[in-house]
Amino acid sequence: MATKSSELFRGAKDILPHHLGVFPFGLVFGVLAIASGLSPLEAILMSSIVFGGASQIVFVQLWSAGVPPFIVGTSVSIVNLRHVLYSASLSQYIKNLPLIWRLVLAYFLTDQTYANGLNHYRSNQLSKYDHYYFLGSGLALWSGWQIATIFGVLGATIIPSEWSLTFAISLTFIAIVAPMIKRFSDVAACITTGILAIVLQPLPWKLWLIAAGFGGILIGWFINYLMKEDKNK
Amino acid sequence: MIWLIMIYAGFLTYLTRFSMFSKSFARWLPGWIETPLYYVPITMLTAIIVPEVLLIEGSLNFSLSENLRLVAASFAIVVAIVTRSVFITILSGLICLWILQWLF
Repeated sequence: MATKSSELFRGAKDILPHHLGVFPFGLVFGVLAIASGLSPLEAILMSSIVFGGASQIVFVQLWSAGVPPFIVGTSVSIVNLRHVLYSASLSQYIKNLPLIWRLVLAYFLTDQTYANGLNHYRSNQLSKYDHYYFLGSGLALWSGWQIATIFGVLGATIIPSEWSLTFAISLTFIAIVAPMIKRFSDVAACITTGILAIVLQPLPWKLWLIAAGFGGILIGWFINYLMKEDKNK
Repeated sequence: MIWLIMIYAGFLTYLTRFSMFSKSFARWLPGWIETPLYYVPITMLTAIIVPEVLLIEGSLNFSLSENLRLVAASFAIVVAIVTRSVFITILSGLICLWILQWLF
């Protein structure tokens, strides 16, 4: 029989595999943040205020490159637009929760809790305490992220570069993206993005990031329209 | 200054997360937007991955013996598609890179 606390713990337990990616990711963020000139306090609090790995990495990279603040904020927001999709995708499962629950759960919506939560909601192990499951996974991920950031900040000068921890960031995203690529338009969108991300490197203010993303989205959308993929779902 | 941008970024991030959890916003957003939005995660994350894997000190490097990240990342993509496991993908990618670094 599922109880509130059993669901909370189940959520926390199911998110554990993601810590393998999140921990080095947080470490790298802490190290990068210090290297980019943030104070330890700024670095650590950013992990609570923004609470988004990709966004925080993009933030410090742009910040340290001297990109104008407005562009930093905008680029981070565009990297974050993917949350709208996550939020849309999960909304059918949480729409009957009270506002306070929706406000709280939204804070914990990340690549990892989304992927894990969707698996859970689509499974046959639902209970009336699914929001506790999501909260448990969110709290566990949040704690891991904070601890990793603190370790990264503290270890900024002593973590050997041979560990290639920055590569763990790419690997986390590969683990999330690769299984999501199913249709021809997905492949086209990713290849377009990849080419643009390289070709547009000379753009000022690291605008290649936004431009490559938008280019890929447009191509994917266009091919989806041409091949009527949405209708064939 | 950095605090302002941080709070600005944090606020916008939270809004994107809450967006569709809000009943009025979900109703206000046109339905067709979901098609382009579907491509946001795969493209934005790809945009972060590709330069990280293909560029070495700012220039393209497709040499399999010099660009070990490219080899390890390709391996990880296959592992990710086959296993669909985050844990195995990250672990095998890192171990692959460490072995390559030790070999070359």
